[in-house]
Amino acid sequence: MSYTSFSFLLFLAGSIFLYFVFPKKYRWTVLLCASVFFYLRATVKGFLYVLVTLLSTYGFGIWLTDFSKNMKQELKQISDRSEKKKRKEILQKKKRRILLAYLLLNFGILAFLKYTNFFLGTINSLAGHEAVPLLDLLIPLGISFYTFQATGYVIDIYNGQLEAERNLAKLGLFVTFFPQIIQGPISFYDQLAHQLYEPHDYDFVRLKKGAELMLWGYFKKLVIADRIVGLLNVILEKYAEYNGTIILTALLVYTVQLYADFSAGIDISRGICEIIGIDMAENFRRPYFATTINDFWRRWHITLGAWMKKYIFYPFAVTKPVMNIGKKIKNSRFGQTDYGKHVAKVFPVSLSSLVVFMVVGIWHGANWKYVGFGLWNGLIIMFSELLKPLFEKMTAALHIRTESAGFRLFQIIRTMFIVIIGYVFDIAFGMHSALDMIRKVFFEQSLSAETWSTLAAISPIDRWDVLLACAGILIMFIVSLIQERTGKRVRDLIDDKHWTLEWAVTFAAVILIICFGCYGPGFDASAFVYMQF
Amino acid sequence: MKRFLKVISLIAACSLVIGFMQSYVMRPWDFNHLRTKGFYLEPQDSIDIVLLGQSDIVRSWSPLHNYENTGYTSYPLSCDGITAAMWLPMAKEAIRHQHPDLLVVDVNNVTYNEDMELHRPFDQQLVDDMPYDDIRLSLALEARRTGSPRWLNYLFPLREYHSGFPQGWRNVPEQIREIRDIEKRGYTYFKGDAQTCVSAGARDILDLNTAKETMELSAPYEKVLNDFLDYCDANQLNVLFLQTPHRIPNKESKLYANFRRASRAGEIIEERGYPFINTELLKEEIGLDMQKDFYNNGHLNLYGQHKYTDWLFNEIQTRGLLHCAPDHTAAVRAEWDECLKYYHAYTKYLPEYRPAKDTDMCMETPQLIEMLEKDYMN
Repeated sequence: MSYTSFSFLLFLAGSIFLYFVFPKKYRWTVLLCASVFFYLRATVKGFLYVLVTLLSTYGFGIWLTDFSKNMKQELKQISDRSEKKKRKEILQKKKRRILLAYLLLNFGILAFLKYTNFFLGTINSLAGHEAVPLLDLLIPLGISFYTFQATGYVIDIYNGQLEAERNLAKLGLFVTFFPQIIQGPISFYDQLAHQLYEPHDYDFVRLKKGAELMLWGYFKKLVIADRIVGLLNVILEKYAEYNGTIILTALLVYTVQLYADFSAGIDISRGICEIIGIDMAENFRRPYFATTINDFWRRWHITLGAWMKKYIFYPFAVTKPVMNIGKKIKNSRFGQTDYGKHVAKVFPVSLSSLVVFMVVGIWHGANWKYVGFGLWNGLIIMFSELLKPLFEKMTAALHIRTESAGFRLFQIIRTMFIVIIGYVFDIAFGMHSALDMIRKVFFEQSLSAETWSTLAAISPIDRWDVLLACAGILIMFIVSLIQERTGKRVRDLIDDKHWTLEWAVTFAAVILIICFGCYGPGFDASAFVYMQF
Repeated sequence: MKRFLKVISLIAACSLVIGFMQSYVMRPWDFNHLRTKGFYLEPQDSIDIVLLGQSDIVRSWSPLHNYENTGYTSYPLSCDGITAAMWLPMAKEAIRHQHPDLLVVDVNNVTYNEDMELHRPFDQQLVDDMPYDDIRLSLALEARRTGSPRWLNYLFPLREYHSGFPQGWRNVPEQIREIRDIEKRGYTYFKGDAQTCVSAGARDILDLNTAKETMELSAPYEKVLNDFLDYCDANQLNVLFLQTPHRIPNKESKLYANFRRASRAGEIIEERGYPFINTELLKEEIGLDMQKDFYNNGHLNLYGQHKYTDWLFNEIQTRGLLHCAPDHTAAVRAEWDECLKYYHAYTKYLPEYRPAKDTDMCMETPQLIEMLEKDYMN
């Protein structure tokens, strides 16, 4: 049941209606039933995997909570300090093993389903023949998203930040909540769960705002993303035949399409939640206005970044070996210099960033190109941190006013460039074709008439589509610019004006989506990009 | 209350604009759509004969030529490429709006392979201009039952045509004006007819006069045919089934398979007690010139159409299939007489019509009418 299907809209209207007419105490059960129905409609087999994750999360969560309680009580009874310390270490180790078992099980399922064929394929390509046959594995819908969300919950319990939920059905709702299971946003338990279980009353203003956010999402998905995706696909299909200019065009199209598509899915999810009364975490903050690559990743897929930061970056950065590297640099002769002091300070953090980006890369898919994607972003961030003093000296020497609009524009363009090169790893078929594409982009540029005529000949979209897409992109840009400048949501800004403006904007959005969106059986509307992860 | 009014006004405005876009702007507009629209514009109970089928029957029957010779009114509620599944809703629509004395059904629809019936690529163009009634709703629900992903498009054609302008965005103002003009006038000038005078000769033509082979209909078609015959039984309809003439090059051609299936359909129809004429076997008797009267192997041109219309009407009368004499109000007669003037001009102009492709029909457009009025009606 795709977000863009008529059946989904019917399902959604029914679910929201039932939610508000149900007795307050049981409203969360409507969300649970809707979520289970939504998932089962997509895949029954996949739901079995969800159940495994749910049951293990439930069981291990309670185990860890009880274990922590018993541990505290046991340690309370021990009066001797050294004996208490020893016992604590033993119990901590045991507790860690419980967590490890849980993580192994859940990330094991994720890794097995997503990466087995990748490794088998690598073995086969190394062997030069099919030494081991590939497995026919089903990747359950949204497996990364629900696994991350569930494991985050158990890690929080392990860290003593949460107590386990003892109602299996309630935990089930947290794991399977339908507006987010397909493509996120990934929520923390303490941020989302209580909102799911609390009853929310019908509120017209919220309904209106939620519907407006959904409309914005549908506009980006149906009018922009799905309109231009065809051009991207046809270039990628035979990229080897085209020059760097055409490949750069594909990259620019992908830059717009990916953002329009992914942020659209998130907006629709957040809009649904807003209607119900749930405040879901923001996932995008105008990423293409970022001035550094670090800034970009703080604005792009924010919830994944937050998850990575909390559960990988910090735990990794504070491990003894990583801390020791910093200490070693500090104690070396190099560490005594000004620059050495800086390196000693930022190296553990930069290394952690590299690790996080490697994980993010691998999370995106089982292919060496994603390793390249992680490396590209991780290394850029690492070196930008390590070489920061050098850049600062350079800007000072060149008398560049870093607060000027011109420099900010330069930074935005520079970041976009880095991001776009990173996207090559995303759209290429493999590592080899990614590197080939980068080579073409840099060394095979041609603005000849032949390039444009080739582009026009292969393009599955006509002039009208290009015009519509450009108008849509312009609207998206203006909305982002207003948000970036004012820091306010455009919906709120419109709300402050006379009601006719809000009426007119909603009217225009509905007409644009229905008349100019790409939907229905006449169109091969593509699935949301992040559904595949 | 204010909030309620805002929401209602928004819904109403959206519905109005979307309705307008669907009816006039984001829609295809060709002779098939014009024909269907024209059918529903005809005054209630003013048509004596309604013809159901595909392009074959449309190019074989000229309503105005027949009116001129016999005084009987007729209209093809037919569309290029539609499937046999459309017979039933078309017949229901014909009866509801016109109560015709006779229904003529071209069995060509059931002679294709299954694919066409399953995928129904052209049915939408007939549905586009159908009124929103129970027949249209049941047609959509039936399509849904058979698993067609387009079922919703039958109720909401914008879902089929959105996102662009089927006739090109530059033609939109002209298209709106054209449709509005026809609606205001209340009838089409050529009664759904669109023809050409192009003659395409052929080297190989199979002599079918002695051919008696039949071929089983594919299962979905046989079911559609039987269901339709059941409906005719239940409603005691006066129906004539026929197979329109084609030029069949050899026994290996698709058209020959179609001919054999049509013969089989004829057997089923006659077993059920309904008349069937396989005019594939009667081309000589009709007087069709195989070189001059076809614009391609599947369709008659204007010359063939007139011969066929004359012959078929004669056959209908000989068989006593028309139960009443033409009896129309003065207004209806005036309308048809007016149309006849335009049709005369049209047939005068048609030999000069130079289509871009041989298969392009000369469609009724405001420009054509203007030209006919100026140059051919004095």
